[in-house]
Amino acid sequence: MTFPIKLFIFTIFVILTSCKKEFLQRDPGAPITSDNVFSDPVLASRFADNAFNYTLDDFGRMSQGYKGTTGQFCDEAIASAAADSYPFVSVITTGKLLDPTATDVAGVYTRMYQGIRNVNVMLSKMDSVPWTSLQNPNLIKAQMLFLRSMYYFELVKRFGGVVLLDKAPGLADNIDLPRNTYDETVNFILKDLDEAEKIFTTEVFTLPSGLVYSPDVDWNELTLVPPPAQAKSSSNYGRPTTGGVRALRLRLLMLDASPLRNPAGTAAKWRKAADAAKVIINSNRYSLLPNYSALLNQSSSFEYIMIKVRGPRSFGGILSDFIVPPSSGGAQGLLNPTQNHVDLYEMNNGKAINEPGSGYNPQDPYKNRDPRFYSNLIYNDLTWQTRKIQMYDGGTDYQPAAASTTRTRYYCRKLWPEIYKGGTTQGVLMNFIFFRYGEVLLNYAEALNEADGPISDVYTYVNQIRKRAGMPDLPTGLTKDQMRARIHNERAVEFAFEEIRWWDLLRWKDAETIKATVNAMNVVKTATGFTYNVVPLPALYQRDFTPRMFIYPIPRAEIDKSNGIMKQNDGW
Amino acid sequence: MNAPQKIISLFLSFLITCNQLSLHAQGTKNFTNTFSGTVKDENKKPLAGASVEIQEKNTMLLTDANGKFSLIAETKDIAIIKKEGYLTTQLVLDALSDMNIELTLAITDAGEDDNVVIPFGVRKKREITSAMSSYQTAGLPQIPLSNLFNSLAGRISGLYIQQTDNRPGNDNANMYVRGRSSYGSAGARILVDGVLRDFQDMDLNEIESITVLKDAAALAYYGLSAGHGIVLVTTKKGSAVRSAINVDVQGGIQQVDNIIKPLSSYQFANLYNEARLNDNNAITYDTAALNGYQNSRDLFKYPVNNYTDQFLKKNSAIQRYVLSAEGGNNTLRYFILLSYFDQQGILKGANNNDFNSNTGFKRFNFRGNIDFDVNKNLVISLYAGGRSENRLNPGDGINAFLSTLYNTPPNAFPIRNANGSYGGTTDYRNNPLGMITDRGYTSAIDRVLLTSVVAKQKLDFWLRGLSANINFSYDASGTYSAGLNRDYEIYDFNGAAPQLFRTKTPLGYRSAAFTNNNRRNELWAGFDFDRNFGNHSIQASVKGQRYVNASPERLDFRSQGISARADYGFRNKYYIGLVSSYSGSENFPPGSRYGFFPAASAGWVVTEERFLKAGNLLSYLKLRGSYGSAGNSEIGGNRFPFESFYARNTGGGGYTFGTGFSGTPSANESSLGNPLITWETIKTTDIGLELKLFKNAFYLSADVYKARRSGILTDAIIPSILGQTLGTVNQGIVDSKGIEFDLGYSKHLGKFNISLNGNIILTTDKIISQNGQDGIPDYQKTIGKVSGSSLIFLSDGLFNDQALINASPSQAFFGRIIPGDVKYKDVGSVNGKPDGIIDNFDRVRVNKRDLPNVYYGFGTTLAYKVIDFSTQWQGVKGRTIDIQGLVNSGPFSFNQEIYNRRWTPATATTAVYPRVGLTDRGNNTAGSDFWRRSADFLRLKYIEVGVSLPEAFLKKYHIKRTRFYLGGFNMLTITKLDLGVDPEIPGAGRGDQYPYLKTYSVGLRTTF
Repeated sequence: MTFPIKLFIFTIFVILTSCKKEFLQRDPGAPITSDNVFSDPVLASRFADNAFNYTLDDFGRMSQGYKGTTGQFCDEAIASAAADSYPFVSVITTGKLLDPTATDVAGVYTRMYQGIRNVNVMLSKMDSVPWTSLQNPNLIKAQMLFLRSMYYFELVKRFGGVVLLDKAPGLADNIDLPRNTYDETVNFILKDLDEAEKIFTTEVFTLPSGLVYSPDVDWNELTLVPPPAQAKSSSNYGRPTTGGVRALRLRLLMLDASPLRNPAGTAAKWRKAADAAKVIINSNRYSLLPNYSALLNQSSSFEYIMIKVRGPRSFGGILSDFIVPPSSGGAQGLLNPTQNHVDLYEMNNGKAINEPGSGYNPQDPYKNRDPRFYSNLIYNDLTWQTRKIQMYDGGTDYQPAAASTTRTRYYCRKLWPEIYKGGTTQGVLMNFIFFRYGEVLLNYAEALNEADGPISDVYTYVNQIRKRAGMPDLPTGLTKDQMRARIHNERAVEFAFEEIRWWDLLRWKDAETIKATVNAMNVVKTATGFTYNVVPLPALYQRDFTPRMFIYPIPRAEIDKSNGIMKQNDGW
Repeated sequence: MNAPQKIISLFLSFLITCNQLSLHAQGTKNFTNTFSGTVKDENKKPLAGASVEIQEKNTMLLTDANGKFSLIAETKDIAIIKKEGYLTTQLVLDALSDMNIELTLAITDAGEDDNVVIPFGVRKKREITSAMSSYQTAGLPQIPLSNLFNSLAGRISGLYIQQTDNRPGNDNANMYVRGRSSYGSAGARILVDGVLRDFQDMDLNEIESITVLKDAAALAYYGLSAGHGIVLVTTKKGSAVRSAINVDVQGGIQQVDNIIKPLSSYQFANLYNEARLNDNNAITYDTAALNGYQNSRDLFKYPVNNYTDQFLKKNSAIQRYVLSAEGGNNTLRYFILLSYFDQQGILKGANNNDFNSNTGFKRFNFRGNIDFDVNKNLVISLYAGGRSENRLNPGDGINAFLSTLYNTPPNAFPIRNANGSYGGTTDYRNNPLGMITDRGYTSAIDRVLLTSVVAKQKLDFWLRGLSANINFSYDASGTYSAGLNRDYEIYDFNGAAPQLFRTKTPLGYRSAAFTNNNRRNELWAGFDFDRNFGNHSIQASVKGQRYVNASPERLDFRSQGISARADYGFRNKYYIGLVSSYSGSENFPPGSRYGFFPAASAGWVVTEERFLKAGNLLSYLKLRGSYGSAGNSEIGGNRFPFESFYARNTGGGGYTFGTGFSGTPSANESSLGNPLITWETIKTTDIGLELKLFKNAFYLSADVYKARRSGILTDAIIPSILGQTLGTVNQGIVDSKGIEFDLGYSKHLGKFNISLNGNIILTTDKIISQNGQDGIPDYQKTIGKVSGSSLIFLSDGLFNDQALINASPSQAFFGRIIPGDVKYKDVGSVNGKPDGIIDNFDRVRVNKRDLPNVYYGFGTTLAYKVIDFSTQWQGVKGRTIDIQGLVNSGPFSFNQEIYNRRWTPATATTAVYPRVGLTDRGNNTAGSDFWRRSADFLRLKYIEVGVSLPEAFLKKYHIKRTRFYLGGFNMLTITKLDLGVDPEIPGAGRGDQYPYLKTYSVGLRTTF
């Protein structure tokens, strides 16, 4: 072989090998990069929607996504299998909030910041996405701001001031940051909410279907407005709207005005909250659903300000493993309402059970109660799923030997549509409600009463709630304190098991109620009927509450990781 | 083009060039003649007893007292002259007589048998300056074992072999080089003929030698692949100086040992009642039932079963046949092997008219290694190995079947009901008889092809001693699974009405599948330089490497790099070695994919010096030392951990909007890449000494080493406000150190030959840095502890009465506590001080782990005339196991062990284990030192007695050698564990694990 040939072969070989991409540089295929996402408006809008996935959007989210509610931290309910198999509740009720298994502390902290990251990444890319007429970037931005507010609200409610981020940090950024103050956090949220509201109340957008989103006809109303005024659009129901923004602001202001954050009881803070509620009422977009007992089961409703949209649930998860006990074909009936909660229901004549003339008969305790009692609870001798509930000693539904059945002799009907029993294949809607109009009304009444005393508007709106429930109006002539007590009681009953009670008690700094002895009902079957006795639950189910628990501690690991920069809350 | 590509392309162009420059040699016609001559040593003294062989012919004779020989051969035949202690010589027979042949005395550790395989090369042992153990497989036991690892146990210093399973074809073992130096345990990387290959399923006779690379000077060559030690396996190659045909026939039995001891139905029912009472429940079995179990009158109503006796044999058969041929001449050398291995399972009654569902393993191995001298400058070799392995199992799988045997209560059901149908209940729907006779079988056939093409082109015309070398491998494997399927019905006649469970199906084929389709290619190409200049010897090599591991269902794995080394020797006395690699992995970010791993070593043969000349006592002393680094790219975690990926979930994952409730597609940030991710780096210092005493009869090799492994992946301690989980970061550090000895003695005393070997390694390690340790009490931290330490409660005996429970710290953390439960010590609390409550703060980190810190082996070989006898022992110290699951095994954790030694009020003073219970047993099963036991053991791994037939007798049948032998594997174990479990494989015979096996064998080897 002559030299030129050798040179030729050598040259070809060099060219062939050098043209090839670097041997170790791989295109991994299925996973994609940031550029792939934000250069595609459809993917980008899906990334924005993904930020919703970090909301606390269901009952029973402390473990496995369907077990444990905040109601079990307070006087609303207990968890039957208290300590060993159910630590995510017992860590709170025994005061071990620093335990890493306390999902409502460490888990929520992490989850909220994941949501905040998703929002911040999206906001930083808003300008670089080649949006088309199919998307409205302003409305996307407003939703992102709403979500960031929601996530920071969940944080400030638990921990007070937290680190505020308006950009997603990179790995190279220093994120050993000190906490912002409570006030800075509240103001940060309010600013985001104002900006979101501004967009929601000005933007007009023609949807691909030809329907028009406008400040007057928001996502939810596109569904709700009956034709022919607007053809029905069903694809955006559940997105935040002007009402959602305002309802979140109202919750924040209620927290800010309450004793926990307003120890001096400044009326101006309450008035600010009352005003925020009144804006929603005055918008005339919402009304109470006539049927209280079907509140969670609507596909859409004028009472809903914002719900988590979820299809009919099959019998599994939260239903079979948290709510429905083995005696009805479920696996675990862990959510047991307490006697303390039951005692909060008035008689249907409007009197509390211990009030003279109420007609309450301790040996027939379930007679003539507030109709909401029958909507919310399952109790002895109730006819349920074509049979009588047997909560008496030796009865089918009371089996103290089995760890996963009721200890209080109650179950929660609100979260147990009657259709669900062993072998069920059908399902019904059971919505998690972020905000509903009923809450706006009671927030308004509460704030107004605190700011101005029991003026007539306070009666008007509490009575609207009572009327819908089938209860008589409040007696007139209540003092401010009496009115406060009635409103507090009304909230406990109206919002039972809707993840509101625990937060109410915390913001009211109502340690008495949280610490109160947790009672159960003792039922014995006799020849003629039953005997009923209220009895305290064993020590295992009693609450160990200290004032430092009004504000959760920052998860211990986060303090450890911050090299001393992040400071823990007082008392922890 | 990057550097490795340059090397490879440069190489290929050389190859193309050089082939043209070669010449061809041709022989002329040959005649038969008588040749004679004299063999002398360097001092011209005649050498008696030197062997003279004619290549490729069955001619062999020894020189007489005057060193003379005379033989008949053809001209141009090649004579091979060998004598122990001298370098072998070859010569072409051309002169008819008075050939004067001079044999050179071999210097210590540089003789014929002192070759050590190093990466793509061979050195004399004397030249080695790094820590390597080399083992010639000729000394390994000829015993039918399906896994080659097990034959090596206890033999090679610094190599710990831990058997983990006993199933036929799956008697797996782990291989660790010098213990553990990371948080987890990772086995050594095994390279067969230079590339990553499965070794354990090869036939023993395919293997020529094994070299274990231990220190940086040995490992740096492999750069990022060297993190956990390397074992180089070399297959047998043909040789021009030896030719033989070997036939091996072996048969044996494997004996079941250490199987769980089940309870009788009567014992079980009593214990169950006791457990019910302990749980505060009513008893389950009344007097009538107990009597029924005791008197066995109505076995349908009161069944009494012993499943392991009924369904497992005590012994199973094993056999192996090997045929191999090796030989060659100066242009073609070959090694060919065929072997068949058959290991039967221990299931009883598994054979029926339709199929045999016994578990079993059948393997066929093939190897053909051929080296061809194309011309005097070019050698091309093809090394090809293939095997077909068939693993057979009952339809439900062997583990499910064993689980049924071990864990079904003895009184659960009658195996067959009165009407002949299978028994069963709603809770126990697996009938063991049904499982082996009516569930069909599965067969998984692995087919493996391992091929390497190797070429060596000498480039002496450019530079004497230079050669270009290429080694390309193509390995393919796949598994074909198939079998038959059937199902059966079970009936429960003991209820109010007969109940039927399961559905009967007729015999049919299982769906067949071809899986694990895999291809691996590895290319090594480069230049070697090998030359002596007077007193100087230089050996240098530079090679580029590329590796691809492809499977259809994933992106292929790749790596590449350059490895180079240079060794210099002066006067056979001083040696210096430099080795380095520039090694890259796809797992790391662009720009920091390649690491440079250098190492240096030096050796000094002190006995060559005037001041310490070798004498009768001290024959040889070499000192050596090395320092350098190696890497590990297999750090765990995701692939491409440096990339931030987004996921596009087309099927769902989106938040639902609208009233249609349909799942929406989503896009999300799925991981945050760590752009700083890198490999683990292991820096090792090693100092060694090699010593021979008493005219080389005794040898000792000792090494002290110290290593620091840094960059171990550990949890990222990034604040959660980042909003993303960043998997892990390279912030872990583990230090390890150890000392190892390898020694031996061998002596001929007339017709009596004795040979002893022994090795021991003492290792320890310490975690210097690991994240995730902040905020936990000091006594729970891993820092400062050995890797793999345990976090356990400290026990304080058993509660003997309620008074003691009341007086002790609360253990309510675990649930119900009653007398007979384990008592724990109150160690700490959230503030580190004892708080009267036993909870997670009372767990303590202790330096106990299952990997031993001392392992050793020793063996003897004694031979007298035709009889030989050998043993090999293996032992470990410092191994701790958790026996909780072993003691608490069987149905409801009941077995004879717990039955005899449990706590009851009557046995309170002598009880070894806590009281029984069925529920709420968290207190007694929690990880604690109550359940930790030393699993130190010394085991007779192997014993063999052989008889060789006299050569004179064999000569008539043209047989060179024949040897009969009896052998045994895992024959004897000395341990303090008294639970009836094996200390090495504690789980065997429990849970769902195959029982422990001892192997007895008889064999015959014939060499033609």
